[in-house]
Amino acid sequence: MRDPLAEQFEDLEKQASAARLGMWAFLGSEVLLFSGLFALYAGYRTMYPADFASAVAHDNVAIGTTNTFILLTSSLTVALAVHAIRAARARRAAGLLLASVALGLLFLVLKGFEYAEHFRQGIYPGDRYRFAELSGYGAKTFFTIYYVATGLHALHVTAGISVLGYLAWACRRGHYTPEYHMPLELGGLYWHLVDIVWIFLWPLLYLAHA
Amino acid sequence: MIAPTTTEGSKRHPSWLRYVVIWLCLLALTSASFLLSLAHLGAVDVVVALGIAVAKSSLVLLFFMHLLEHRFSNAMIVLVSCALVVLLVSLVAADVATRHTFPPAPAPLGEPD
Repeated sequence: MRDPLAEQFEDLEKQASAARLGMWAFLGSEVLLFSGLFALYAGYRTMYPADFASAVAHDNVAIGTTNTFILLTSSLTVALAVHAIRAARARRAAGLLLASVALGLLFLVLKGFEYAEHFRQGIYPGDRYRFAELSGYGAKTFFTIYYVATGLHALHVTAGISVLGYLAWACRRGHYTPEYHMPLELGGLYWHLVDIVWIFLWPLLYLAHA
Repeated sequence: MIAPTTTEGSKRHPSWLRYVVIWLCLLALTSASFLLSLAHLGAVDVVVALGIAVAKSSLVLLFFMHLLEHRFSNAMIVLVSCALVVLLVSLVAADVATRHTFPPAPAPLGEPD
């Protein structure tokens, strides 16, 4: 097995700190990426409060809430996987990561059903919007932001699923030990960030209908 | 045998039960947020829902992402990012709400058909 300590570091502790700081800097840049969409939401919601409220009320809160529970549970299984590898239980860690992958896929399937329901009603992003029941300018704007925000989030879920799938395979192959499992820890951080973004999207897109 | 000081994990590992307790708190907060959204609180409901979202993400950050265990430089990045999001979102909303140099809502260019 390759020496886990890169030559420019004196010890694993320093290497781990550097790796974590780099990952947090990346996660910070991801927050900036999503913050533009949150700002658009805030601006247009202030401009069209009534249209936004009725558009939010139209969203499928059952699917949205189920997906919230799914992502929170997948975050738990990722946290437990990191815990398992710290205790040298690589097979258990691999199993927990595969459970997270399954939950992530379930999230995407439910999201797909939701998109299909919208498409059937003529709710498309931008100029393609054809939903007569909510014909206001604000409703059209809401759903365009909805598609961009949930679409960008779904891309992150897809990337996270691939990362977790790779990590499960690597755990299974015995690549990680209690002393060296930094990829698993960093991949876990990415998945938790995807969860946090959804923690904010869920109330804004499904709950705030007053 | 590798000395414990050379491991990259933290020295004291919390029990797995801690993660399950945090997860149960997250589920409880999610249910509370959902039930409050049915209560027709009016304009405060966005504030309440976002407050609960902040509480939930703090739990994820501090425990699932181990910010509590690690050095403060990591938390610093989170704090600065959050400050930027709060400023950006609140100032964009404040600008739209208070600017009177243009009509608050542009006249629709034509009803979507």
